[in-house]
Amino acid sequence: MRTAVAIAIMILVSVLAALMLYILARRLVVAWVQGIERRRRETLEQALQPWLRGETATPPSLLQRLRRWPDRSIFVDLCLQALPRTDAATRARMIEWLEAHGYVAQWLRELRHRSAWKRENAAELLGIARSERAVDPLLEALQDEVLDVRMRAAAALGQLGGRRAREALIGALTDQNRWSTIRITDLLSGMGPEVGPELRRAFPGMGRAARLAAIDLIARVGSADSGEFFTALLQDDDIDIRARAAAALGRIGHHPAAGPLLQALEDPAWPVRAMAAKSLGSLQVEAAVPLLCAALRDREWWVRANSAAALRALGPAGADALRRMQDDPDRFARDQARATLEEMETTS
Amino acid sequence: MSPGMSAFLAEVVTGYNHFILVYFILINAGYLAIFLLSLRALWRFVKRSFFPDYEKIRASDLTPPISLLVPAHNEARNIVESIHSLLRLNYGDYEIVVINDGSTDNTLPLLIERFALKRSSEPVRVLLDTEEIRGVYRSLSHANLVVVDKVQGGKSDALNAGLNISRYPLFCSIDADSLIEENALLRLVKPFIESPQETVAAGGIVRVANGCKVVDGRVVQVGLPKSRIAVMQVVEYLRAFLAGRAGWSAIQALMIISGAFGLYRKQEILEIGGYSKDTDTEDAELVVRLHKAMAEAGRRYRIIFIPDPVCWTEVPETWSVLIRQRSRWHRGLMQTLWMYRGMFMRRRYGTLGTVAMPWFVVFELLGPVVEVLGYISISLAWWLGILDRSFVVLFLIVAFAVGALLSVGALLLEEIAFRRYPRFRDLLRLLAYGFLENFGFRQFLTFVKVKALLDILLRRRGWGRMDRRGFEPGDSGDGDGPRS
Repeated sequence: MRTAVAIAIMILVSVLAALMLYILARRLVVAWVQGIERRRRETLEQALQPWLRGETATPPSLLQRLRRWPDRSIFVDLCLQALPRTDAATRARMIEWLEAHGYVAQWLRELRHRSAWKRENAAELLGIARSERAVDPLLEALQDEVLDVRMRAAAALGQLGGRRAREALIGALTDQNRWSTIRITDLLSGMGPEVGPELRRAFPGMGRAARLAAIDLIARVGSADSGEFFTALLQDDDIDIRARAAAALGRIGHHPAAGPLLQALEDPAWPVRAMAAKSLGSLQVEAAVPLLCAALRDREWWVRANSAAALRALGPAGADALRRMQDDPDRFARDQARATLEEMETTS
Repeated sequence: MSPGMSAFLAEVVTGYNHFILVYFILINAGYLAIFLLSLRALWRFVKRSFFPDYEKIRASDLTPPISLLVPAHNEARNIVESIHSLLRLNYGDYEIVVINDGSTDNTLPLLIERFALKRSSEPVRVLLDTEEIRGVYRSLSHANLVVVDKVQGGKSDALNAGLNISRYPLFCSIDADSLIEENALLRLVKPFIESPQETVAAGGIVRVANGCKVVDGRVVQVGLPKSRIAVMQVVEYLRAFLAGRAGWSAIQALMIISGAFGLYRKQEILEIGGYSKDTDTEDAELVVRLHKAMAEAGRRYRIIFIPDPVCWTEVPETWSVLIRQRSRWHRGLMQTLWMYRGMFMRRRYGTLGTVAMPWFVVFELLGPVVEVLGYISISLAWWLGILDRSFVVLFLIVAFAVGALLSVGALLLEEIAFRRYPRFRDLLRLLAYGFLENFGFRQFLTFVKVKALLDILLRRRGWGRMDRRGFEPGDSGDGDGPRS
């Protein structure tokens, strides 16, 4: 027993000492490595800047003899920093150089690496490099099991653009993860007006989360006939879809929707009422004043707040209504009216 | 003493010593397992966070707005700095609800003066019963700041009042003596965006602010405090969060989210009746109750710990405040475990009921008692002349080495994942204290926990006085931190 305990002590003390030494050594090594990288980065930056900025078309001779470490990673980093800022000709030249020297091929290989971190990194780099060769592998990476890889691949496709990328991203809106839906929505919103019609075509086949995202997105990118499209959605069974559609109608400024929005102000679901009130304010529908006043008595704060804001947005007619509501029997309505009037006075 | 009595006593002591040996092996195997789980979780986390999306989260229209609830009772020293730190948060839409819980110092006048507060006539919809609300104030200088002045009812009551006033679907409880890092909310909200239906609560890491340089409510330079007690707590906090909660969270058995910094879905908290006033540690009780409600409703849910949203808090620098704080934490743990004893070993409650709760009862709650009885047993064995001195020495060396190993392991996790203490000198001090805390400090806390147990058994209970000095080096406080 005693021997066993003694052995345990020896093992424990050894492990403890090794851990402490490792922590200290790691800190020292990291500081040393960072020092080397910093100095080398300064040298490379100085030598490469004219080429990276497009001031010279000839790659500096230094590029032919880059060290494996730390030059290659610093070089890639410098390129990636420069790429989004350079003109099209310089970018094309840099991508050509990266392709010719095997960097793009290496990232394409890494897109299939067993380490998710490597795959994610490769997708990021391919997106910045915007190599046409990367489209198919990136489409494949949209099915990756790891969310972050899918997100990087989607971002890369967003940067590459094109119909295939758009269609793939619209398909990816159905991703189970809400964050990926949000990110893909952002990406699609920057991919041109073609996204609107394509989204509407795909809408009937989409899942709930994708539909919700698509409504916001169509409102953002704009699309012909989207007003009628959103108006029809005010009758949907899903509360969130009705609410998003109501918000979208205000956002796109679709005046013919005033009537349906007035009806939506009496929807049983408060998110729909809140969004309808907001949109009626955006659309400056003066006929909405009585219903907006009634909505100031709503049980939900959001409905009251949006209704008061809508009345405020209506100008003198709305302000008069708010003044009258200061004497309303409902204390919540009175308070909301007073608070909004106070805000109006402060702002003016 | 008669020979028969001596023989009987010797047998009891020997039996107990054997029990201690088995107990020691089990507890340390458990700690090692939690450490390995934490290591795995942190490794994955660090790899995942390589490309942070935080700016995208901030800019997105769909990022949920958050209500920050800040209960404050006699917090005049820190409250202005804390609110400035909250006003500077990098987050889209959020409101700050400060609840002045019957302060007798000049907390409220100070807030009125510094933030141009104006009394509002707005009515409050009572969703949870609280002590009387004397007034609601809105800031003319900061549209997202509201202060609720109420009759003192304790922290839980203040948080419930804040819930009544708050408008947003997520709320974050924050201690008035804490500083939240600028991007902390963006980091904490991410799981709520990724899985909005499943994520019901998330907690960040609480770090020790003593010794750090604070400018305008922001920690601008991280350092270690001069006070030895505070440095011991730095190590302790790192161990509790990085080598403890990260592991529990990985197996869906997180029992505590620090009241100093936790984000919750309001709807679920309202459904379970808000914060309870029947416990000394309302944060742990709330989390366990939330687990219970979710499990009983058969819902898929997540209550998680995220290691990089940072909340900086003061820790006590005097023994008396430390004793009060730890007694309260241990009493709270006991109360919570007792209140939810029905979950113990029930598969229905998942890993919380079958792993975490038994662990907390057997090792966290009873561990100090077993340890103190062990010291008594060793003394008795010595008195009876049956003490195997060399074995005891070897055993104590093993115990100290295992304790140090766990602390140094936590420092390893910190070094790999975050490296928040940039000075080499600080790293050396942390390593030294990771070793030294096993010689006296840990034993001291063991005795404090036993005293807390006695307090409960003898029905002595109280919050204790809070002593704060403000965010300057050399502070002391009674912040909300790691607990196990």
